[in-house]
Amino acid sequence: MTLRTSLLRAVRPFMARRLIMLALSMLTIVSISSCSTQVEQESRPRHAIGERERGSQPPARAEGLLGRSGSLEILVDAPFDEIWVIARESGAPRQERRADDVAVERPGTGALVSTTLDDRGLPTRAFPLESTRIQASLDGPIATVQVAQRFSNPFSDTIEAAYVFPLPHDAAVSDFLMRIGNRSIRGIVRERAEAQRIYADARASGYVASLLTEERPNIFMERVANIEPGLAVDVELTYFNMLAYADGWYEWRFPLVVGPRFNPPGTRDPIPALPVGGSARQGAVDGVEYLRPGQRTGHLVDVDVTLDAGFPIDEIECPSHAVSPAERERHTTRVRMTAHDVEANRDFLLRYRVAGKEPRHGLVSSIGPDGQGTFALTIYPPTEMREAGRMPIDIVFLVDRSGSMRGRPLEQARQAMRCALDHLRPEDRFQIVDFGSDAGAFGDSMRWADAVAISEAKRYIDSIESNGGTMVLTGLSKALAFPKHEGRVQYIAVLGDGFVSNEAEIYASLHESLGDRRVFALGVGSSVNWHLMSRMAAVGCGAVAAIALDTDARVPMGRFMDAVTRPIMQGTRLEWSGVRVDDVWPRRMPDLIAGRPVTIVGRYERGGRATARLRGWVRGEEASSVHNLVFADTPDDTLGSRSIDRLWARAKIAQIADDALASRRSVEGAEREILSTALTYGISSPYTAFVAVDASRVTEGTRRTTVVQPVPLPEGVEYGTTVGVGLPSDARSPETDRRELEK
Amino acid sequence: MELPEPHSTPSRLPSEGQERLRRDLAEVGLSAVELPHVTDQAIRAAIRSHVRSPRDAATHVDLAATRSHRHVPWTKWIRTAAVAAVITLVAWLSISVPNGERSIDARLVAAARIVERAKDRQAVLADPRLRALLTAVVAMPKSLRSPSSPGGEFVQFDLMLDDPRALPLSWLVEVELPGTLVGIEGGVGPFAEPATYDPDALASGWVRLANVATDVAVGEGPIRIATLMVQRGDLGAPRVLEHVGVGAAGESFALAVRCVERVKGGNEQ
Repeated sequence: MTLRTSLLRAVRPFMARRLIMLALSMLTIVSISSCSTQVEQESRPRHAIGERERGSQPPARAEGLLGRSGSLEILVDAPFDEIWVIARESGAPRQERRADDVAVERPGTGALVSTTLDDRGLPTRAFPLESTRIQASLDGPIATVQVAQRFSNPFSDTIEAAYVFPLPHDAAVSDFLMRIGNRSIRGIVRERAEAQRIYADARASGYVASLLTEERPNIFMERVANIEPGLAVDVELTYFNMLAYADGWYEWRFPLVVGPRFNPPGTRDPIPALPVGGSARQGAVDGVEYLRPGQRTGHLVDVDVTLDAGFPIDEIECPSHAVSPAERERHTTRVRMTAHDVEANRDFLLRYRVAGKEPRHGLVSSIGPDGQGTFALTIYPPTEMREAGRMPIDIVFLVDRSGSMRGRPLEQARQAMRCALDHLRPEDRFQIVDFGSDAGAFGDSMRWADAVAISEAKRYIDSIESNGGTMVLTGLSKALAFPKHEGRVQYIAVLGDGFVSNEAEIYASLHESLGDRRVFALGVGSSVNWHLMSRMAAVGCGAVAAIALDTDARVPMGRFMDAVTRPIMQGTRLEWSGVRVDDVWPRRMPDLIAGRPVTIVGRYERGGRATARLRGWVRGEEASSVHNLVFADTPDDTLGSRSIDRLWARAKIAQIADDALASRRSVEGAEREILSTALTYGISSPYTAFVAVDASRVTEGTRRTTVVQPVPLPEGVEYGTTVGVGLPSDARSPETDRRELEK
Repeated sequence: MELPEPHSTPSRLPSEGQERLRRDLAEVGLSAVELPHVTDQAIRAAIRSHVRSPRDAATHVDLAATRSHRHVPWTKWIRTAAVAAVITLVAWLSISVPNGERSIDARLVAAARIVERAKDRQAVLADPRLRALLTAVVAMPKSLRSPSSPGGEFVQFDLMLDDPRALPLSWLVEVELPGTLVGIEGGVGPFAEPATYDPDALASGWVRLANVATDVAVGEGPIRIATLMVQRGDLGAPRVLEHVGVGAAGESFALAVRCVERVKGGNEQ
């Protein structure tokens, strides 16, 4: 304020004189920017990266105490409860994160754990997240999904609940409701920092409030403040996304757990994988807490899917969970999860196929009253081009052997690679790169796929052992070091679970060094980071495939190898006539391979008949296929039309972020445009958040304790090799482990 | 700089909007302007975007005013930038800082509201003083432009429909709030589910709500059709700007809607 006051005094006498005003104009520009900077600095946490909490209390165990004692808050008096309370001094330092996150973190972050016995006498921990109810409506290629989470307070004082959970990476979250009893309050989308400030104010003032922030496109954090003892708050969000299509099957996947992320040194925005209570020891709620094997939280899950395929349904299956027999009509069906006390440790996957031939294309479009329309177009590989002959290929297998892949996941990856090697022919060349904390390779150069090389490679695959971190960039750099053969396309086939938090750095590296190589990503496991896998494939004009833990890995790998060696069309692009089409995302289309259609979203002006001509290269020759389309030309305001708008906005945000990572535009400009797009369409983004406040009454209680909802590890992932890796030593102290073992 | 593409924006307005604009103009000591036509998206986008200097702002305003990317003479840039700089400086120096909270000069807030609400951008921008004010507003850091100040108390405003006999099947209400909207609660009876809001309008600084009746029950006396949770930014009162209902036959009519603050601890109606 000193600068401002001085200027004020100096300028006031001359305020009316235009010449001096003009002279000061340049000074004004400087002043504005310095003022803006000052505001930012004031809201920034004053802690250095890696600075540890000083004066924090070690975990203390309260034995049957009630009420408050010193810095400890004892909140439960249930007879079977075992209570730990970990409190910390308010205002204690924490790891640096986004500057705008600090307001939410500050007062009274702590952790609280209680254990009860369930009906079978097994230990079940009491936590705020009581249930998650997912209601999905699949209409053709678009899914409208409502996720309802019930947070209750089993403790004896008012708490804040924090929960990190996954959503599909292409989910456009567009609605947010908070229900308290029979009252419903719709949340508002705001700029992230503003939403966090509102939430922090409401929390500090004692109002029930909730905040939904996007930590990654597929990782969200939900916080609910001031839940009174014995009461429950329901939070409902609605999102839209597109169904995937692979090898004749439409797939709807709902992730139920966030896998433990490895945070390479220097990661700008890490997501630590913490043991229960780890957030309190870190001094911030910015990671995911994981239960040990055998521990449960009593969290119930219900999935209810209504499907309207638009065509006769030929076959439907749910390979991930037990579901009730489908109430099946010709075009529609309803599927519901049978058991609700299942561990939420793997994706829910529903697949169906429709009768008849595969269509040439599918178009969903809607137009507004201003003549501006939005569409989603899916083009299937043209039948006449599917008989493409086999092409010799160069392929580098990049396999993740980090700690999270130990056991079944790595075994599946090995089996898949052995199958891939069997599909190679002597005219192909290949190499294998494996990475954990470091990277190794089968050889120093690309090898011809003769019998000797294949045999040696299989022995090398068998020798790969899992351990260490997930240094994707190290592995990627080694894979990209193998020179390309003139006139041949080089493929990079990534096999792994994608459990890293430095996705942005990986995309940027791919943009910088990939060239015209193609990337195909094969997600191995029950809860793969599909955001990483899909974006890597998108940057590399490739596709993704899933290798589940309980299936024969040779099946998806065999299909993948067939598709890769017989590409249908490469270097694809679309030409339009009849309707003016603009803002098509993604800007760069992937190659067309067997079983994998291409989906794009875009805007158009005034509907009607139009032609899309798909052009590209088929075995070195230019070819095209023509698709006659009819775009909607009558305005409507149905849910379907709103969903396409939001899906388009979400795709646009992804494209802008991608452009920034590829250095095609400035980061600041990208941030502004993402924010503007997200606010205009009312959807979640890295720079927006949903906030809801119930201003009707101030709750009672101390409002100092945050309870972090822990989650199970994904099926097949080991605790010892993933949780607490790379954390400060006291985050997983022997004392902590001893207490855990006692339980 | 590229302006975002237009998006569907329901047009509305005529006489009441003109009257409001005249009132707003009077607040800042400017004469009324004619409002023949509607075109607002580009200017709202310009206001929303962050610009780095008054010169950038001047370019934004020029581009928005012409609705197309045209060559802007450099002398015009300099002239507008200079005037904008002066206004920005005066505004910045006159920012009051009570108890660490920032609030912007009322004239600039009013100017921002004018350009956000006004439907004839050409006419508004033709006024040189308002044009310079707008440029200054655009040039300001967004934190200073925001009419709401942080840390205000949380209050509730009830949207009351006075005549339940004229119960619409759906309604649309635009309201100006003395703060930041932080939640929308459902009302009673057929409007028990929370109303939806227009995010595009909200991004531009005003609140446009809509809801559809879930049944046709008609009660006695005024009924609450929504409750707005607000973090107060100033001491002003809320104003209902638009209030339109749609009946069973698709006919639209004006609704008698009030926005009243609920007393803390008071019962809902």
